[in-house]
Amino acid sequence: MRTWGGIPAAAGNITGSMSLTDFLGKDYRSALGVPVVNVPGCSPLGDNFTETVAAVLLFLQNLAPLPKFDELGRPAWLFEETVHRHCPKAGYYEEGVFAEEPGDNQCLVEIGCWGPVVQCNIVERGAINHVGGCMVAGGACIGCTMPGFPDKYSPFYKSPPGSAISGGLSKVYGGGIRRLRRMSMKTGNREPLWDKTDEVPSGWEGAKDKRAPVDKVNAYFYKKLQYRGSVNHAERNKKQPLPSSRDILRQKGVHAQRSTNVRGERV
Amino acid sequence: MCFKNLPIEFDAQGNATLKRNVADPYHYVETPAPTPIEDDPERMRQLVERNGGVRRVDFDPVTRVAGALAFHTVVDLDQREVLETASMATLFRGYEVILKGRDPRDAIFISSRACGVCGGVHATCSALAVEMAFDISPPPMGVVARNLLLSVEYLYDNPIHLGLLAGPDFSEPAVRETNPEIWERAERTRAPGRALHGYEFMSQLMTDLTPLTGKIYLECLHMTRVAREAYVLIGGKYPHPQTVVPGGVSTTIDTSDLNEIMMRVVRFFDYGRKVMAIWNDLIDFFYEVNPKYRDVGTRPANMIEPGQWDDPFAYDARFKSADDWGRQRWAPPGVIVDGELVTTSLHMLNAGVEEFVEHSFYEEWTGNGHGNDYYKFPTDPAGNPLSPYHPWNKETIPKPQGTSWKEKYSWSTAPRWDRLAMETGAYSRIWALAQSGDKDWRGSNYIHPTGHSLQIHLPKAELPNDLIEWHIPETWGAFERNRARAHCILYNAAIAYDNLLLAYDLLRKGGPDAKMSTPYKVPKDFRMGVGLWGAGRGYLTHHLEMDKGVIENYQILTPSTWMASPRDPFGNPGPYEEAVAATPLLENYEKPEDFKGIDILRAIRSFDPCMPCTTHIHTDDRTISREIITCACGSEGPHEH
Repeated sequence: MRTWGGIPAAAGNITGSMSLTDFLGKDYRSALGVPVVNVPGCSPLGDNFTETVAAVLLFLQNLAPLPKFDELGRPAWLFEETVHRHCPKAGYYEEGVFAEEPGDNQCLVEIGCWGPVVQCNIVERGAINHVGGCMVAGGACIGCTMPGFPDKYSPFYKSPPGSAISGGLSKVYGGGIRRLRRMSMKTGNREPLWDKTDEVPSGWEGAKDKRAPVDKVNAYFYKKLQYRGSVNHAERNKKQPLPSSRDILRQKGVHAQRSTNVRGERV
Repeated sequence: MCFKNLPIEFDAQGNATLKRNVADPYHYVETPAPTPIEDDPERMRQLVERNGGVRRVDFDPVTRVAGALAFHTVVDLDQREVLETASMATLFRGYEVILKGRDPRDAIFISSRACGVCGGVHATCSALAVEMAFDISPPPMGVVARNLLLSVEYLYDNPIHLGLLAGPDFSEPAVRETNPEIWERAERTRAPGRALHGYEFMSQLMTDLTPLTGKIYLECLHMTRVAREAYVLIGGKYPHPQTVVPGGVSTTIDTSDLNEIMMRVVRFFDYGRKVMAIWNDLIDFFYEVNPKYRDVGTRPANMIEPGQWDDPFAYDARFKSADDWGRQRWAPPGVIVDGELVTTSLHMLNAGVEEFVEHSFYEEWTGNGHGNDYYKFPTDPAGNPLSPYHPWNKETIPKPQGTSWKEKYSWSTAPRWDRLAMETGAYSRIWALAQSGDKDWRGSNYIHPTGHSLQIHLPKAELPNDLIEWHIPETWGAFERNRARAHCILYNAAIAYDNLLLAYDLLRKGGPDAKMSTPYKVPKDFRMGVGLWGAGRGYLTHHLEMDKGVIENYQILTPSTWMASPRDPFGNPGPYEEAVAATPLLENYEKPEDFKGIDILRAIRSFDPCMPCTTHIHTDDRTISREIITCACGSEGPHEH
C-alpha cells in the first residue's frame, strides 16, 4: 500500500523493495486494460481507497463518469490539490503567523510542515469519518503521499528550505494584511447602536465604550467605500431613534449588584 | 535475586554485578534442535507402525493474524496430540538497516511504519529512546497527550482481536463444522451474562460472532472506528500519528478536543462490559463442555511487560532513574516467571534481555559465535551488566537461505529473558499490575490491584454497574488469554478516562505544565537511549545509539518477536511452538481428512500475532494455498490409506 515504495524502499534498503509502478513497468495493463492505479499515502486513507474502487465500479456499471487519473495514476479528484490549500492553518500562513514550537496552533511550516508542496486531501476529508487529519490535530506534513517520501522530506521536524523565502515573504506582506484585517474587525465587532451611544452595555471585562479617534476615522472611510453606489446603512442607523426598552434593568431601578435565581427570588 | 540463568548477582545494596571468577560469563554450549520427524526415518517408521494418524499439517499463511506467519506441525490424530511445531515469520523488511545512518529525528516517523496496527506505539517508543539520547523530557501535558493517544489506541486494538480475529473461531460456522456436539449443547445452554450482553442462549451468541454477518462482529467493526476517531483527534491520522515529536507532541489541544475524545471514550464503558460478559460466558461454557479446553495453548506463565502510560510528573527520560519512573506508570513494568512477579525494575528487565539467531535467517554478530570476545557495551549507562546478545550490542545482519527445521527457519529472532521464553500482551500488563499491588504505584481513580486480582470501578453508563474483577487464572492457556484481553477494554477505558481528567486539570491550571513539548537540539556527541513502552500486544523496546548526529545502531524488539520466536540455543521452543505442542486436539473428526486444526489455530490466535513488525520480502515464492489451512499430508507417505 505504500504506493511509491515508501520506507522499505528508502535509502539503506537491502531487500530490493520498490513501488508497484517500478515493479510492473509502463507496459503493464490490468484485466480491465488500465495501468497501475496509485492511491498514495503511508498508509493511504481507507476512505480514499474505497472511494477509488467505488468510482471505478460505478463507471463500469455506467452509473458515473469516467474517473480521472493523473500522469502517475493517482485519482486526480483526490490528489490534484496541495494539502495546504484546504488546511485549517493555511490562513495563518496567509497572515504571516507561524508556530514556533510543537503544540502551537499557527501554521506549522517552520516546525517542518511540507503541506504547501504536497498533494494530499487529508485535512479536507479527515483521517476517518471526517475526524482528524494531520494538520487539523497539529501534525506537520512529511509528504507521505509523494513519490519522494521519505528521503526527499527528511530530516523531519526541520523547516523545508523553500519556506525561508516563501515564509519570509509571507511574514512581510501577511503582516500587513493581518493588521488591515484586525482594523476592519474593530468596527465589525460593534453594533451600530454602540457607535451612536458611545456605550457597550457588556458586563464582561475589556469592552470599550468609546472608540479611539483613529478608529473613527478609519471606520468613516471604510463605510464610504463599502456603501458607495448602494444604500448607506451608516446614515440610516444614525437617524434611528434610541429604543425605549434599552438598558431596562437600570431604568426600573433594579440593583445591578444583587442577583436573582431562576425562580425570580432574591438571593 | 531475579536471575537464575544469567551470570548476574547482587551485592548487599542490591546493585547488579557480573559473577566474579567466571571466565566467559555469557558463554553457552548450543543444545542442538531435535531432528525433524520427516528427516528421521527410524522415528517415522515407529510412529507410523503405532498408528496411521500421524500427519504433517502446515498453516501457510495463518489467516486472521496481521502479517505473514506460517506454522508447521506434525500431529498424531489417533492420540490427539501435537508432535512437532515450528513457527515461521516469513517476511523481512529491514527497518533496522534503513534507520542506520539517518538523522535521529527521522527515527520516530520511520519506525512508526514498522507496523500498520500499532504505529502510535512505535512512534512513542522511538520518541522515548530519542529523548533519552537528547536528554530532554516532555512537559506533563505532552506525556498526558501520549497516554491518551495510546490508551484509545488499545480501545480499537483489543476489540479488533476479540471480535474480528479470535471471535470467528468460536462462531456458529466454526463450531458447527468442527464440534457439532458443542453446537447442540449451546442451543440448550442459557447464557449467564444475559443482563450485560442480551443473549439468552449460548448458540445465539455464537451466531452473532459469525464473520461479516454477526451482530457482535459488526458492532466490533463499528466500535473500532469510534476509537480511531478519538485517536486521530490527538494523532492526526491512523495508524501512524503525525504529532509525536522529540520532547512531547505537536498536538494542539483545547477543551473542545477533550470533549470530543470524552464523548467517544465513555461509549466503551458499556461496550467493555458487554465484551467482557460475552467472553466470560464463552470461556466458561467451553470449560464446562470439556475441562481439557483449559489446556489449549497452555504453557508456563512466563511473561514480560515493560509497562506504559507514564506518570506525567515522574517521567524524566533518564536511564538512571528508569526504575523510579517505571514503577509510577499506570501499567508498571514486570517480569513474571511461573506466575510470580520476579522484578518490577526496568533496569533488570532490560539487563535480562538477549536475542539469539541460531534458528533465524541472520548472521551471528558476536564474531566467534560465543559472544566472549570484546563487545561494545559490557554495561548499561547505569552500570548494570549487559550480555553480548543484548539489543544494544546487537547487529542486524540478514542471511537469507532455505528453510530447515533443524537449522534456520524464521525471520524472527529468539529473544529470551534470563534465557527463558516469554509471552507478552494485554494479559502481562494486568497480571504485573495485579501482583505488584499499589504500594509504589501512582494509583488510578478507577483501577484497584489486590495482589491476586484487578478490580475496575468505572462510572455507570446504561448497563448494570457490577464490580468488574479479573482474577489471575490457575491454568494459563488460550482461553485465559482471551478472557484477560476482554477485561482490558475496560482497563484501557479507565486509563483513558484518568488521563482525560488529568488533561482537563492541566488545561485549567495552565502554565508551563500545560505546554505540549520541550525544545531541543540534536546533540553531536555519542549518545545512547532506549524506549521501553509496551505495545497493544505487549513488550516493545527501541534501542538507539547515535554519534555525530547520526544513528549508529537501531534495534526494535517487538511482542510478536518474543512470541513467534523459533527455538533458542538452549533447546527451548518459542511460545507459539510451546503452546501448540501442549494443545490437546479436541476437535471432532471422524476421518483424518476432516481435520481442520481449530484447536491449534485457537492456540496461535490467542496470542494476537502481529507479524509486520516482528521481522521488519519474501525469501522465495511461497505458495499461498488454501484459505484457512494447508494440509500438505506428505509425511505419512504410503501409509496414508
